[in-house]
Amino acid sequence: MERPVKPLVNRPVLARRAPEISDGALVARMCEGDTSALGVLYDRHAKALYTFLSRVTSTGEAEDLVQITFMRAGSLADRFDPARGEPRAWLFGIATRVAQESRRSIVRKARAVFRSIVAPVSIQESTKTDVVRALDSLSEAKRVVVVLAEVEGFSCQEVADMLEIPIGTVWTRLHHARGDLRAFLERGAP
Amino acid sequence: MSAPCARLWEVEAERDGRLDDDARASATRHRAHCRACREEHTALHSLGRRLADEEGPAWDALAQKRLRGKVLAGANEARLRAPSSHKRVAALVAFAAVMVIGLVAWKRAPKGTPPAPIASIELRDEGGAIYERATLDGTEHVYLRAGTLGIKVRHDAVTHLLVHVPDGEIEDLGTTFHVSVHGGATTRVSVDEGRVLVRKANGDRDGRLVSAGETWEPDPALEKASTQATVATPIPASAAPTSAVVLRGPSPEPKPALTKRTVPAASASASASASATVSAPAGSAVHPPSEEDATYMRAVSLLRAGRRDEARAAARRYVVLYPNGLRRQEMDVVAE
Ligand SMILES: [Zn+2]
Repeated sequence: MERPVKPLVNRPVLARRAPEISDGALVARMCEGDTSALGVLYDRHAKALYTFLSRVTSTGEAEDLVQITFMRAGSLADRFDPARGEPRAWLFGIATRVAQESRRSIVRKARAVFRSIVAPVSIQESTKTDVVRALDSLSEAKRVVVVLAEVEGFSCQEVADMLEIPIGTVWTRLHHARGDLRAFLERGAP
Repeated sequence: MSAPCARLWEVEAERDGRLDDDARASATRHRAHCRACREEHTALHSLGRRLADEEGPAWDALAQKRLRGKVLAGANEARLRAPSSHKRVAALVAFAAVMVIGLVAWKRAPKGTPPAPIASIELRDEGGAIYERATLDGTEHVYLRAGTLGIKVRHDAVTHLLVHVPDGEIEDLGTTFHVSVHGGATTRVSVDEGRVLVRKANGDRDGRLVSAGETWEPDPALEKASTQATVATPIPASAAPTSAVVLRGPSPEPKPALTKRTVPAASASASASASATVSAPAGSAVHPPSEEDATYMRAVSLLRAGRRDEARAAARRYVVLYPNGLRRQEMDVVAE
């Protein structure tokens, strides 16, 4: 029997050739309906996105949010424009939105749509390092900006593009975030 | 506590790409002889290293693989359900997500966002408006995804409102107007009080003034011919409340549209030519700046143009408006 589209979950060919394919080419393949390309993109970026989402949300839902990020990347692939930046920045932009929505409890509804059942794993307060607690002490707006710029190494312009805010706002938030972090780390309180 | 060196701010400015080549070279030379700036440089560098070196939470390989399977299975399922039109399904899913966002936000509106909304802003659904409202860092944000929204802002120095539309944003400084969004694009901006200037970025220098009682609508011929950004600046030299309307080209979510930087003149006395001389910092794609940025950029551009007296006046204006602003120290120096 012939199905119109074959599931490509375990097709090994692309995975083996993966190192040669750019992220941009993978997104282009996703547009053609090649799901395995999404898998390669996942292999390259899922861990970083998991770390990022853990840092900016601190709700223990990072794994869930990673899934929603990639599901959304899959559905938005045909709207990706390589002239506007790297796929990595595009993925972090999606993840940032997903994190914001999570804060507004919208992801709880979206989760039902995607029929995902993932038990949230919360991070023990006692195992947190000073740096993590310092980051937790920031407002989400400041935390997202400082993590994107200082941890993920995006330029202020890339951060502004991702968050769709003026670059001056990025500078201002970074400035205040650094001040708060330094105060927290030096004195143990912001 | 006063800063040990007047140029200390340059250390962070350099790190964040706010200095041009000459200023960066000068800052580096200065640092070689200034202990305070060297220490600040080291402190910022160490903070960055500390943040970057912090290991993320453990994520075991099995969980990663399990999630990978779920992601791919979900993506395949979406394709199999409608193999001939996966793009349409994707669009529908995206639309449904937007609807969920809109409806949830709508239902939660009175208590949804943590900070209390600014009381002097009134929003009225004038037909199918799907929007969210949030207060972020002292700025009131309204995200209008579809429909028509009536917006009334009582003039108040503290209030700053940004209306985000799919193809841009509308910055309000105290006026009453209505915005309509259909099919992901802004179709109409009508003004009851105050006035705005709508300007196409592609060569349309004069722009179009929308005063009280008037309406802005996209020119269909121009919209088809170009995806260039539409940029609007507030009207200078007017005591009337003024808004800046900035409409970008079609912007596929979640990527922001590339826009040319245009600095809305923050000051009532700002001249169009002065704001036009302001150039974008390194890195092409820039969003319209905030009022604080605009005030700062104006002073800097005047200084660079050798117009010292005007630069001094602009810097004084910055200091008065933003006593705790990020560039306060820098502006203090220019204002002297
Ligand atoms: Zn110094």
